[in-house]
Amino acid sequence: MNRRKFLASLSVLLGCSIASLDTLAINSALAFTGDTKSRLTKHQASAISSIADIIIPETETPSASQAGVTSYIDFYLHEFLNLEQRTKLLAGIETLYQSNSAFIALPKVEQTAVIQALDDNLYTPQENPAYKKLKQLIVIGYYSSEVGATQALKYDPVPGPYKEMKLKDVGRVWY
Amino acid sequence: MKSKNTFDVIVVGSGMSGGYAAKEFCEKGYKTLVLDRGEMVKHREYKTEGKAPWEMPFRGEVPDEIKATQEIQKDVYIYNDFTRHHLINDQDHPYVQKKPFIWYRSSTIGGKSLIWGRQSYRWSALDFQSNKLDGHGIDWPVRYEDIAPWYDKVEPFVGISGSYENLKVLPDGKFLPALPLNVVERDMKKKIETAFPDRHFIPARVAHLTQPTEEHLALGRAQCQARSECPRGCSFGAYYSSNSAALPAAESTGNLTLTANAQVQSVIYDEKTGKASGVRYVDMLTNETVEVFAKVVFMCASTLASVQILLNSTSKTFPNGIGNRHDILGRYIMDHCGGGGASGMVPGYLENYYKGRRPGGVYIPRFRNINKQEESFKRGYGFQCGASRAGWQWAKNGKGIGESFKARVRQPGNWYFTLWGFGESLPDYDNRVYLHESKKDKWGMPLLVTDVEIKANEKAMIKDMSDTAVEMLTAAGLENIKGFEGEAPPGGAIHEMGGACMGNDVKTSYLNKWNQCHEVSNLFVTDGAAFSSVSCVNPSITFMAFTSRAVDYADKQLSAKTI
Repeated sequence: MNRRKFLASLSVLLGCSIASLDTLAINSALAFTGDTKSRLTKHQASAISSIADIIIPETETPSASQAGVTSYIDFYLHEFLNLEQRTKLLAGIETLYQSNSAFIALPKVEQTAVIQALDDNLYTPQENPAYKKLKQLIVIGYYSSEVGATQALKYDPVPGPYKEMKLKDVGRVWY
Repeated sequence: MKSKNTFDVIVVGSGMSGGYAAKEFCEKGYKTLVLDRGEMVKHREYKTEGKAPWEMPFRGEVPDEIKATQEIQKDVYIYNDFTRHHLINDQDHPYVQKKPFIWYRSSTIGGKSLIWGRQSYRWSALDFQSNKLDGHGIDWPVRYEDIAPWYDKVEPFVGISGSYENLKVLPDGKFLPALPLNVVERDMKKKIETAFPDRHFIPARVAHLTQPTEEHLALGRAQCQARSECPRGCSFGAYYSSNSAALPAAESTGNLTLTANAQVQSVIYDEKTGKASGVRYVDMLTNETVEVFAKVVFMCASTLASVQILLNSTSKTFPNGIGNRHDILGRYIMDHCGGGGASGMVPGYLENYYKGRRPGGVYIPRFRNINKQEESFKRGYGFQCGASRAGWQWAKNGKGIGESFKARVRQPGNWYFTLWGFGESLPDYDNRVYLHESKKDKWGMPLLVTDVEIKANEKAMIKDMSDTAVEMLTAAGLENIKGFEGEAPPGGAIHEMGGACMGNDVKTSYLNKWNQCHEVSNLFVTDGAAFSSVSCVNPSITFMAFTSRAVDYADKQLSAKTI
């Protein structure tokens, strides 16, 4: 509903109705072309959700999977990547720990240890490229989601003029 | 048929120069036709404006198969899924790089004014004298005093925020209130100006309405909201674009005819009168060739495109392009040389933060070779810079998992300061563009060949940019200072100029001091092509000042019936 907020502030500044602006906006808005049906297998989706929630768990703000990161990654894998890139990344994810089903079966503490070890190896010769890409997608998928940008980070589509503030009065990092 | 296609004035292009030419001609009562290759984009009909990242399918990232259609454009700094439709499809608009040249081009009405960097500086007296002083290029037929009144006229309409500094090297203009420096920048200013008394650390001057005037408000333009989503288009009209300001002003007179998807291919030369009678364009949607006629033709198609069209305007008298009797058209192509600078981490200030995405930071005007030639290279450069705190983006490639990772991402990082140099490349007769002898685009326009390179002077300057940037950050007490000396191909600064240079001599220049073609009195070129040197400051506001001056001159000549 961000675009609506933007149109509301614009209408105040320009002194016209939201309706007149919104009609224009809707007529010209880029259509969201992707569908949201799940194409990952149950095991793939479950493993990705578990990994995502180990990297970004539920705290005072929702976890990665609660913010829809798994379906974002599903969509990205099938709409953004080509077949070759998708096959390679999915195969890489499958082997992060033996297999997706084996990973799901592990107790949480062991899952965390597996991910911690993969993360420790980032930017070393032992780096796992599938983990690196998956983590990127999780981080981008979370922090650019509505939940991530507005709750974990701070989001203001129309901030008004630049103003210096104390960090304590802002509270957290801007999207 | 003829009357429908006849106007008082034809303006080719609707960007920084063309949009403003149209406004002034229309306001003077001339029936004005503006032709532009781009798609129609009307103010406040910006497709992606105000969209949140989660409202975009890939959160702003562009898939490879789309990037493949924009193999040049995909590298421009503003390129993403929110902005890519404002840039051309490179497959439809090829050119030939004899030497590497990056040609960023707009796909819309309003041209690059819709997507520009918005930094706006006056050129100095020195800038107009440099060619004469060091012998490179053609001596400008004008001096700062000739242009100053036209800056005075253009700036209030555009709306430029800036501070009054009284610097010879960067003349003050007519400003709206300056953007504020933040606490880190205020402290750095003191340290750097103390350590280097010849260097000035001032707020960037940008075409953003910090405090709109009656004139701005009348056009429906409002105060800048610091969204920093400018290249998507701004319905507040808070930064200047043709779409938000000049074209609506022109339209309100009732004298404007604006035609999109019109690829102008040539200026028509009338052998009997010795004048330009109009232009020939292809309707890109129907492939129909159309001829339109006017008393005056203004070329404002952008530097390289204007030159391309003029080269393609052949006739019995001018087999090598209209007005090009002495093989001068297409020569002295320049761009700012960049890629030198430095960045560093500012210790402390962790209790300080801000709200809003400020549209401009700090500018350090040229300080090399000001009063006399002192360096191993000629001319000089300025720095665009700014201080801000690291956001969350580090996390994309950062280490860490779990609650502690999430807590770290939630807080802003350290303050960083970066300087990017923009340098004055020397005009060089051998840096040129010309038409390919056989290759054409799908509408039949001969392709442009770029034969331009940066040379030893530019390379030495880029090295010096890095050195001085590092020494300033060191003096300001920064840590982890890293100098850089990227060497981008020309075109990369998107400040391409030259090709139809102004000068006093018919044999060595294309235009006279009024931006008027020496050989064809009713043909004017007022975009970057007219420029005989490039200064080191961003050029757009100067394109507009020259355009305004040329329109005034053409108007007087038309009244006197001398053109």
